[in-house]
Amino acid sequence: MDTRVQYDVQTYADLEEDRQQLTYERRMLELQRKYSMTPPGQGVDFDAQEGLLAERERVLEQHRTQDALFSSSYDIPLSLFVGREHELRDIRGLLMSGKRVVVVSGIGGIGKSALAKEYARRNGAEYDAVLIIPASPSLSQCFAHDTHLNSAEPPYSSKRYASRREYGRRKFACLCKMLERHHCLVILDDVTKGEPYLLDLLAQPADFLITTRRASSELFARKAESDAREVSAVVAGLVLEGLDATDCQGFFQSALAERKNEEAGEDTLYAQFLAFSKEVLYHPLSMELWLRADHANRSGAQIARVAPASMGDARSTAFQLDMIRGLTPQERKALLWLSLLPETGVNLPWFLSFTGMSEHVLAGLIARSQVRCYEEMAGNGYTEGMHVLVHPVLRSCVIRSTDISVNKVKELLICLARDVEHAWTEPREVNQRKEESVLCVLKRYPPTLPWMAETFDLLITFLWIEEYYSEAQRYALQLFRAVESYYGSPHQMVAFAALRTGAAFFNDRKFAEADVWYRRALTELEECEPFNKDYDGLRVTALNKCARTLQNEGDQIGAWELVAQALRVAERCQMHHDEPRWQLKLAYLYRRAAVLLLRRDRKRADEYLAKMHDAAERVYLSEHDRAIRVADMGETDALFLQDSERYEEAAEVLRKNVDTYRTYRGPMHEDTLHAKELLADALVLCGDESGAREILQDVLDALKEHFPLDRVWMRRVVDKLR
Amino acid sequence: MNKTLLRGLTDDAQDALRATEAFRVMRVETRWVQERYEAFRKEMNLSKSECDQLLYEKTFARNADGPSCAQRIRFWRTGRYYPKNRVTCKSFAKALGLSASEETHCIQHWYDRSDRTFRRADLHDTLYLRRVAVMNELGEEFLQKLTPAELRTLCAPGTRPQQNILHVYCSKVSELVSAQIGSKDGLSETSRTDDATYADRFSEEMRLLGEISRTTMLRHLLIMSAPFISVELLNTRLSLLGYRPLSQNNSDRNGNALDLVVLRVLERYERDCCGQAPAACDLWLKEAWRWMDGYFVAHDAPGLCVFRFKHLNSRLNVGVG
Repeated sequence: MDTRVQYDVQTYADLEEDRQQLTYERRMLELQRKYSMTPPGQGVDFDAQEGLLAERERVLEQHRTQDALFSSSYDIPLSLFVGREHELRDIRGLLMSGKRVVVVSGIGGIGKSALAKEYARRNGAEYDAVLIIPASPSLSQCFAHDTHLNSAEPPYSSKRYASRREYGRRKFACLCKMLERHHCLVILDDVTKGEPYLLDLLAQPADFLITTRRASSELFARKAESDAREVSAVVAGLVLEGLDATDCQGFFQSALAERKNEEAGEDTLYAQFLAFSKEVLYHPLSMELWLRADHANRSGAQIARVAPASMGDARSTAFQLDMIRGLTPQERKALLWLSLLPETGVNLPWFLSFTGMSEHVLAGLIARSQVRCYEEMAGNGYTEGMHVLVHPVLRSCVIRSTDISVNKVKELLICLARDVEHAWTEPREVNQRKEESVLCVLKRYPPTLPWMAETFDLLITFLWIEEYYSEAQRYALQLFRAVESYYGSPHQMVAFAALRTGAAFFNDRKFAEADVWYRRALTELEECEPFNKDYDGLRVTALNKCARTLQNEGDQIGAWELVAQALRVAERCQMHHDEPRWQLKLAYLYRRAAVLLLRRDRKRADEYLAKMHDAAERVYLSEHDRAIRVADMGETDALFLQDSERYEEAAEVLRKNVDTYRTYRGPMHEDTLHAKELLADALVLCGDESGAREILQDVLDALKEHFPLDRVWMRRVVDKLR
Repeated sequence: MNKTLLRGLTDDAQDALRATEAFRVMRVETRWVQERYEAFRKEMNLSKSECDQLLYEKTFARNADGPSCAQRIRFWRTGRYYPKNRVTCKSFAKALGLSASEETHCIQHWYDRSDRTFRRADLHDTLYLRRVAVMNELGEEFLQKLTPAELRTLCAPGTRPQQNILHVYCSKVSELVSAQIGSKDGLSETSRTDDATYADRFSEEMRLLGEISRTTMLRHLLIMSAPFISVELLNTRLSLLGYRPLSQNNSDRNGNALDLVVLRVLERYERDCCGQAPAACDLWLKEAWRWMDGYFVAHDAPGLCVFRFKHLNSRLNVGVG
């Protein structure tokens, strides 16, 4: 063992190394003493060795340096700082109350670093030293390199240190020593992850201000449960939102103070600035960039005075990219879709099921205040459930910095269409959650892609199911034009588009217009070659629709001919492809056939009625679907019962129908009102005229309120009331 | 390594080889089982095949359906094979009518295992706590013996030394089995073992969970105790952990005279290194173990290599079995 006790002047690092060596030698001496029966422990004069170690430790202690061992030259870039008095008080209160670590989190550009620096400026005198350490991209990288962080350690050289990592560790050790000996405020700027260096640093006795875009819980997520309790005892979180509206003027004045040659028009500028600030939820960086753009504009540069994300200068591009830095692909996707969907927010459960996202992805974005979660209240005071909304500044950054390619749009449209595919049989409240999203998406991406006609059709169908008839018709026409222009006539796709346009008009009770489209569809199909396997299905539908038109016009024979044609096709197809959709088509065709034959051939009509039930039985997809189909078929059953003079039974069936439609379509849906009208007719046949009158009055009141333009229907009801 | 030491180690290695040859014919432990078997057979007045059949039925609690059933017992008593697991071994011992102490002897000597195994349900067992304290102390002292340079190199930044015990262990092993003493390979900070199965198994062995062979435990004790090791200390620890102590008359299940190798090296170590610094003692031990293992490999007796790590061999490019 080395017996020298004289030391030359050394750096702290050497002293530290000696200290570690001494500790090691002391441990070995203890082991030798413990295992004195083993060779290393035999013949050792423990007292003498102990004495030597003690002497070396004493000499080492004498050389302990009192100077600051660590300093940082990193400074947070200068930016406008206004207001935030409340937050500054909060931080001070937290640090005074025993929390050693305050985590300030928020989206990029919200003013976290500026807040930390301002806090240090105001309260730094209370500390022996204030250190600002850049924590991005990671602390370990920061320590391993020489920029900004200086310590008593000599500069890195490959001769002195085995690796950069070792160099970083030693600098880190220097910092820890300093924190042990001096009361310091340490600002860790822009922490991106909960790395071991961070946790070890936070264990040191100092006050820490951490600025981060992540949530406080994410930084310490990996800690064991026992450590988590320890962490929560010393860590406090503060989420930074936009500035107070009252600070706007101060912000504006501060910015203008820098502009020497300000021209007249300040009031106008301030009004515009206020409006913009409100739009971006008082996001400081956006406000600052806006003012800079304005200044540049006045100086002659051609920059539009809009949200910073759309400005062309390099700072804005960097800002856009910076706002979505560090996001995982899942998070970017979630933000993109939220940005493409309504700006007023989307229903959370629906969004999760529609996108297939897991809740924790969204929870992370919410925790980082990039997405806001709030309870949407309906006008009647009841809650409409949780909604999510992306920060407006982030929205524009996401849209502009993410490549919104055709494929992405397609993906969104397909997802949305798949989600609304079964709208016809979904409960009303389920559909209502999606209305605004579908409207928003169609508005942003109108149906101009003809090869996506089927996808768009699902969205358009959803609109008229939800009674957005005008919008549905507008988009259906737009789609038809795109399809016709692309495919040319005659073509199966044109027939498809025509059929769907007809449906949009028919459900708005514009029967005349609908008939035109149905006939067009049939013509197209009769003239074109089959384009794909849907040809037969389209043909059956077109025949059925046209048959209904003829039936309404009183041409029973013509209608029957079309229905018979449709039945032949459908039965052939059902034989070849035993699929539920053919069963469904057959069910409705049998229904029509039964109705058409009711007066002419009761026996065949009964046969078709039985076939209708049999086919319908095989296609119930869900309880909701079953209920609707039963109600649809029930109308025909009632008709047959009335024909057999079983009025009471018919009324009972129709009463059930009314309940079903009321439950699944809503009390004011046309199907419900139609069912009520039929019930009223049935009650008349039963002799219950007062009951019938009451129901018809309800129907009339509902028509006046919800279908004021359908004079034909209203007149019919009025006539019945008389 | 000086010539005297070299000559001495050569003599020891050759003795071990000779002993192994004899043990391969008949282990001392197997002879002991045979004696008990004979005593049982005489007591029952049965022929060997009848006795085997009876023992089978008693061991497995079911009828011996054919001659192959009794064959299993024959393989056991001749030392060709051993019971598949401890439960069967104990059942066999019980079938032979052995007393409790004889049963323990059977497991420790013939079956070459600890007298008891522990599962997670036994974590509060007094005996378990006593034994695991030995392992914990061993582990702590193992890490305390790391120099500051080794601590910096072998421990990942921001972690405690205990979290790196496996990597430190593997590094020490690589010093024992790699080509040269003091080569940088042994102190690699990057080649952390990434075999999750081995890491799990190591962790369980340190916590004394599951079946741990005597050879494995011996290896752990030798690596972790060095250089503060002696025959007496090793025997004490083996006994505390429920294993039989070192004996030159005993062998492992394959008949390898590993005990003899360890005893001879440690006796020489205690003679040659008395009073030397720990670092020098450690170096002596490494050279001795490496030389012995190399000798046995060269003489086609890899079973006698004390530091024979089948898992780590491929990573460390060792020719040892």
